Amino acid sequence: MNPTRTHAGTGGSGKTLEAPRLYARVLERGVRLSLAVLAATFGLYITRLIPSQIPPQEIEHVWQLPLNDYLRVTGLPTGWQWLKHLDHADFLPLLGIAGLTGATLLSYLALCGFYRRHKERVFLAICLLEILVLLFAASGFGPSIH
Amino acid sequence: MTKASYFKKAGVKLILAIVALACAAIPAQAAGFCPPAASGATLPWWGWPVLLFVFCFLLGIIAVLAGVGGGVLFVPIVGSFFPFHMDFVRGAGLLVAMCSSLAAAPNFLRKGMANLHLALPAALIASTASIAGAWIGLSLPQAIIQTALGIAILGIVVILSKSRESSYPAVGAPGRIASFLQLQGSYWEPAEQRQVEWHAHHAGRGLLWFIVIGFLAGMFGLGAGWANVPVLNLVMGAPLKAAVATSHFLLSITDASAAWVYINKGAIMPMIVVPSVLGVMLGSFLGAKVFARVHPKSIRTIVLAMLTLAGVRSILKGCGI
Repeated sequence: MNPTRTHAGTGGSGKTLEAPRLYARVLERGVRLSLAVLAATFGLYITRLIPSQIPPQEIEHVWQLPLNDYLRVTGLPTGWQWLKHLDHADFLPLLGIAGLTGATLLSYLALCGFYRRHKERVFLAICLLEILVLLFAASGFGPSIH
Repeated sequence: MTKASYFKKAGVKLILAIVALACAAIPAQAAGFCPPAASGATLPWWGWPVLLFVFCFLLGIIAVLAGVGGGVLFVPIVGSFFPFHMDFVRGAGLLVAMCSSLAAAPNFLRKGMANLHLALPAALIASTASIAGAWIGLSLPQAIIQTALGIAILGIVVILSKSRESSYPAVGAPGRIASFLQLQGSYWEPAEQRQVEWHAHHAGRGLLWFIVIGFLAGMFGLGAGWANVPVLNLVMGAPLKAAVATSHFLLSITDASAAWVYINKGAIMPMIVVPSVLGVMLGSFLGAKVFARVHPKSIRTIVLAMLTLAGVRSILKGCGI
């Protein structure tokens, strides 16, 4: 193989930057939006404008506890159950955190479309596998802890 | 050098040294007057989050100047000197490392320095391993994690001080895997006013390293720039700039999968995560501005000293000393 051969999906110049630029565009939008949500919702939490399950002034009593004890003492939900508690201010910042963590997934979806259009089967397969890995991690499947 | 520029340069170095020392002193001082066992006894409820924000802001500046990720400094220092449990510190550390990378990655991708073909297979391996690392990290008792983290940090200090990255490593034939995955790229090098064309080699060996890197990143919440760059540069032969840029991109993927595990297990506490993430991102932004003008080697030495101190303290804390 000629090692200097350019390719549609690699870093490089001109049209070879099409895929990286697409990924960057989706990622940047997702990150900016999520950061804004994170800052705004955290502001709501610490100003106590909306009631919280654990008020900010009480969090210092539990942040030194091991995770299992913390969950037992506070009764906070795990997995995606936090979505049912969005009327509490302490769960709202998780929207921003999930957005930041999920921005990569959206970028991969965009990349899959690119590789499918350009018939790059190997990298399409790698992207699809990565999406499965990210979805598996996000699903909450796995061994129970401690 | 004129007298004015000499004093200006000396002044900048002095300010940076003070920032670095403050970065180490803030948590140590805070831990001194309010030890973890008595957390909240002296400070109001918002005291620790404010200290954490200030500390992370300074950390963001230092991390950029020293060329290390925020996560590798965040976990051992915050874990050793702040009153938060390691489960929450590691979750926050992953998000700190991930957000720093998310901020940097788009720029590196647009310039062609971060290489998709190099990053995608490595990210698939590392992110899968990081999930296993996160599961195991959350299953082990704090004492074991703290001791293992201390040992890992001291190992990282050795790697950072010994590794001599090469701007343009000598690269042989690409080999079968590198050819199949088309591990090659090109980018514009403004310092040399030329287009750099490169290809990687030893892809199989290099990609295997990402199992270890991903596992450690997930287990300790460290981020993994300290390991990504040597593997991409020294093992796989990518030019240093491409290795650094690809590492940032890679981190944003590896840490995302491990972060999901921490989110699902309930180990993400917004009161710790938000001041940390915002502080490090603001600090990194300012650090990048300063970086364009000055690159003091002494900062790297101070960072290595901080890491050594945090590593030793982590081991002592893990052993109950």
